[in-house]
Amino acid sequence: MKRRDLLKAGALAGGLLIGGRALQGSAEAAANPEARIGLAGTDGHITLPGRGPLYIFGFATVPLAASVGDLVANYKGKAQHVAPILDVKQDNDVYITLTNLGLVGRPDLVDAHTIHWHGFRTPSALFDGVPEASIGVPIERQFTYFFRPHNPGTYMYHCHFEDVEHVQMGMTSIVFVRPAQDGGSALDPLHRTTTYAYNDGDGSTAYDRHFAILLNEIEEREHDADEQIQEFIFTDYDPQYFTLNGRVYPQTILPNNDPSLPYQPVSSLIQANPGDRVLLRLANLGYLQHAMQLPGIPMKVVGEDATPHSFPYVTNTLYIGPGEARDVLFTAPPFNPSAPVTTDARGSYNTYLFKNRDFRRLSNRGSPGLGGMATEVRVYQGSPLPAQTSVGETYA
Amino acid sequence: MRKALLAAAALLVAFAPSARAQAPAVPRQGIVCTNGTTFDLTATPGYIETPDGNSVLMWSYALAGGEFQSPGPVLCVNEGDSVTVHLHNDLTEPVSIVFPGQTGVGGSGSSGLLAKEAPAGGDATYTFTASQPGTYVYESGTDPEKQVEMGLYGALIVRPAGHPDYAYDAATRFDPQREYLVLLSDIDPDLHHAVETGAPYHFDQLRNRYFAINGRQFPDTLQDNGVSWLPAQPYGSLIRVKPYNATGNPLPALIRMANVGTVNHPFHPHGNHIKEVAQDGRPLRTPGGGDASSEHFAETIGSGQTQDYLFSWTDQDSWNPGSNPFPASVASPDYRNLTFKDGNTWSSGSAYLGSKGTLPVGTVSQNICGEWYFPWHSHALNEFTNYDAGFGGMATLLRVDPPGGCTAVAGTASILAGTLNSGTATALAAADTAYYKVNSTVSGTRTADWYGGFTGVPRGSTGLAVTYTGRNSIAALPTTLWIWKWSTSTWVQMGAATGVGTSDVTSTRTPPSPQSDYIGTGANAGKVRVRVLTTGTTTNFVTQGNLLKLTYDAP
Amino acid sequence: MRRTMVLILIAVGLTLPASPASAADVSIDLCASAGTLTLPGPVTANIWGFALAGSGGSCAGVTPSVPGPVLSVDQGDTVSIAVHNTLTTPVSLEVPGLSLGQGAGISAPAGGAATATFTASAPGTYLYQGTERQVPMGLYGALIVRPPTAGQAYGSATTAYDREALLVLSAIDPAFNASPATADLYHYAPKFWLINGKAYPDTDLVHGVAPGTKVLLRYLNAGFDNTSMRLLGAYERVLARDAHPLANPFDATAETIPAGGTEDALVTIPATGTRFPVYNRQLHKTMLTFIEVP
Ligand SMILES: [Cu+2]
Ligand SMILES: [Cu+2]
Repeated sequence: MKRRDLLKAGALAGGLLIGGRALQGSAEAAANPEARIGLAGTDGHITLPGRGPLYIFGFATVPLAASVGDLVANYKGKAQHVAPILDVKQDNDVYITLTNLGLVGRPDLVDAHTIHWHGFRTPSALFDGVPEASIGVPIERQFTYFFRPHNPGTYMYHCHFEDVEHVQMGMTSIVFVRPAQDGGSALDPLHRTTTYAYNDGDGSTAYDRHFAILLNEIEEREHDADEQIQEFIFTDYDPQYFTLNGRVYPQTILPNNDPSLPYQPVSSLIQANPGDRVLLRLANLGYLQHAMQLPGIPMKVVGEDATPHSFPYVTNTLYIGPGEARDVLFTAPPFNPSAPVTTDARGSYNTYLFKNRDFRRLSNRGSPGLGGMATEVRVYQGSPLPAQTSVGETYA
Repeated sequence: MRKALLAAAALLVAFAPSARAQAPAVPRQGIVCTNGTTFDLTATPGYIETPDGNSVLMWSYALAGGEFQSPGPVLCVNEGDSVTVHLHNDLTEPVSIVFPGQTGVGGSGSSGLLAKEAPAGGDATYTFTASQPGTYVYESGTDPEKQVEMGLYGALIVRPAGHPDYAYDAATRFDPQREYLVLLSDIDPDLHHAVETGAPYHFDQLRNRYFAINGRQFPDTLQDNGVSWLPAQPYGSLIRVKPYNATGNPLPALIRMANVGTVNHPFHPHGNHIKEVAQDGRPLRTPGGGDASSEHFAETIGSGQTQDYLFSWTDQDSWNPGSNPFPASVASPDYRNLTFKDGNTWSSGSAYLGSKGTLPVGTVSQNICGEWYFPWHSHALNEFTNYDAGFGGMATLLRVDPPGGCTAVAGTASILAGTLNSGTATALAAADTAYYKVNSTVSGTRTADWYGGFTGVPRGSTGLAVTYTGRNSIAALPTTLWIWKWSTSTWVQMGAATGVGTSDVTSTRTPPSPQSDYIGTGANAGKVRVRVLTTGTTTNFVTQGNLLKLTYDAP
Repeated sequence: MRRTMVLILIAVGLTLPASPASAADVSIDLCASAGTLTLPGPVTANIWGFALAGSGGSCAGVTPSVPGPVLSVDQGDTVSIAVHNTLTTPVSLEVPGLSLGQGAGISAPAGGAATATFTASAPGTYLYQGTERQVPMGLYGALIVRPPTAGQAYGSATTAYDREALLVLSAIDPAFNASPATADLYHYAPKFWLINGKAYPDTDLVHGVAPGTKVLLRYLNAGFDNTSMRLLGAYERVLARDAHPLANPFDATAETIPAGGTEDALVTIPATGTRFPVYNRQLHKTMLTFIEVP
């Protein structure tokens, strides 16, 4: 067990990504390394083009040692969208302590929150996060969810309390499980990485860079109704914004922790050197099916619903329904100087758009220009990008 | 609009058909087959009830002479059968049936766009050979954008010849007690209201408000098949399994899923992955005939498709409070700091299957004996609603029952003949060193005769089994076990006598059918009594009960 | 050798297997032009469509169609597609399954031209398309790359067919198309559901010839909806998606073709039946046609 596998802790500021805090030698379940994660459920606001701040519910990463009082004082009203992306390892004992901080914008609401570990083989209903069949966490209370994930892959987590509301309000994210196979380079046919999507046994899912991207939608009438103490009829659902990691294009291509988006810290920008094997960990927690295309680059689907594909396939059109996950590998093509070239601090690059094929979903509330569910794959000239140190890393 | 619809429904509800008695053969849960090779169906209007109190006009196929039902009956035939379906049309416009997946459908009727039609008041007939096993749908082929939306659909099951426990082949063998239909549909009540009132029908303004499994919306989906208060919606969809066990419970459940709705539906099972083994009535195989199934924690099923899934539930870690407990810091949360939604929960209050924890005072538990509940639902969460109310619509529950069923131990002990030597009923809770001891009578043929009382056994429980472990102070006394039959106020003997000597002997007995006679009702609701009768000679003895346990499958 | 253009038109979606040819340079000149489409009603909708250019790449007098012309090339061909744009807005061209020499795609400025060059390295059914509001206007079409063996969809003999038919699925919102430059794409709401640019009852029949005939259905979804298509009276063996043969072909009666996706399915005409409906199971009734015998 390498320490780096346990400790993917937020090297980046702002709670972009959290992994477990390693606590070796605990009296509990000593056989398995531990990952401990603190999450808080609360509310906040995010920024979308064409409108004022949008009211959300969401999660934020919080320190485990702090008292509930300190958490309320420091984090209440500071939810982020997408919620923190969680990075854990196969066979680790994962403890996630959820604190409900209450809502700044709706002091009248006493909603509980939960965490549903979406897609995990659930060993106990107690930890399934369904408030009607297990518990809910009331305001200023805490509960620790426990999992020992055995199957690597890409999953989701979300609140399941009045879920049609709390999920749309933003309490959604990706959690992925790294395979036990990680750490060895022997299997990689190119002998340059130690990271794999699955325990493939042959290096066929080796990747140089990975990106976790949550597809979602925002029905602003629901958010506004929630803020204004109104009811929204959920079967009227007809979203205006189509998001990747809680942002719409061109927000999606801003770097991680961009100061203009304090509560949408997670970028969807995909930067790669030519020849890099890129793993996209995709999941959909919207209520609509999405067909995504990456014109110019074939996508190989190596896993689905946290299950390695016995028969990986190549596609141009990734069709992904709500609650589904895909693990997609592609190889960054060579830099092509005769194609349109843009330049940034890292040098010259070609751009490929990863975009929704329902072009109605490439607009921001109808305003002109490309928007919505799209991001860019930038392939640089030469190989200026350093090795990736955390999922979704961006380079200024 | 919605208010008006409710009002209209209230006026019309008097014309809704009355409850139909389900034949006793209908299982409480699981697929309800209408078996045969010739089926007489009538296309007819009727009303369904939604959990939010609405009543919606539907069109459906009913069994001729039967009551209106939505969806249409589940037609079950065998591979190779020559199938005939007669359709009589009680609607005021032509109607038909198409059978996707069947080839060579013949028959009679007036010609229509997609199939032979039965004119208003008239008839049509369809014939085909059910040449290959599988899960199929049948539905209207006439003006489908209206008639399918109105509810003219149902499921057709073709079972492999000679193998009703296969979906297709040996690789798709399933537990016949755990066969489930999950038929997905969606309803725009405004369109139905337009049909009801003769207003223009604009399918391009479709706005689905109700989302159903087997014609019911959650939580009605959990109710048993054929409950009287849902007379037009006879099919429940509660999914029940016990944990996978290579020897005791090796076979998976079969989930036959079909989407007869107007849109694709993304279905998400909690608890464990589902394994897709077939689409549209054809198994998924490699070109060499190998296994090409795939596992999913969510799967979008296209409009008009069927998919078959095998499902087993496994705890990969085999957590248990004895040898492999959860970390102490998470296993026993302080429920006083937490909340059970609306004070009414399916939770057992325990981290372990088959155990019950102590819930806070004031929390009502729907949990019987430590079983688990996981929702299975559309992850288009706007479909996980009833119009404007969450936690409804296209959803059901997976119930994972404890491996050995529910277990109850005797809470009371009463002596019929003899006297108390020592101990209380609590000594009967486990096979250990504590005994409940009864002195025999002291004259004539000595006997020791006593019974243990159980409580909390739900009405409708099945699979009752009694386990008694005990010994006597002297050797080889015949011991019989009896159960109280409430309907006749008599004891019923369970099996032959067992010789019990001075060391513990364990006997397991099941009472004769019908088992419902042994569960008390009214003031005695949930009570079961089991009697232990030891017959001696002319020598005094002491009967020593160690364990008296009742296991049962809760309904 | 250099051919100017090998094109097989879809009069209806029915073509005979083309004879194979050795790898060649193929250049295709397309015009992107404005026109109209007549739909049942009758309703006349404004469209933008592709058309084959006249000699020298001239767009004078060409009539654009929805979908655009079927482009058919042979595996291994080096293909150049020039887009001559007569519209007053830029037009792009991308083929999601292909890496055009220029990267993701090309864009021809208003009144200008641009050329995409690629090697047709893998056989299959491809959708060529514009982007954003160009698609609801009608700028899309089918590109077929044929393997060396005539009468096969792919390299494997299991993809052999006797007849083939293209089913380009799309939709039209005449209100949107009335003002393509200014209409709000978000509110695009189709009223006509089309197969090869036609709404039932105007759709073209697919001819299956006789029992046992293998009809290759090439579905291409040019619309925005993930569309579930149902076949009655027969099964279709799903051979490939997005121009990639499946490891495990399977039989189906209803398949969702995602927006922008393609699928190849082989229907073996059963011994009984003469008329096999193919229709939109999401109940958009004008997206309907029939495979008929003969
Ligand atoms: Cu919540
Ligand atoms: Cu979920």
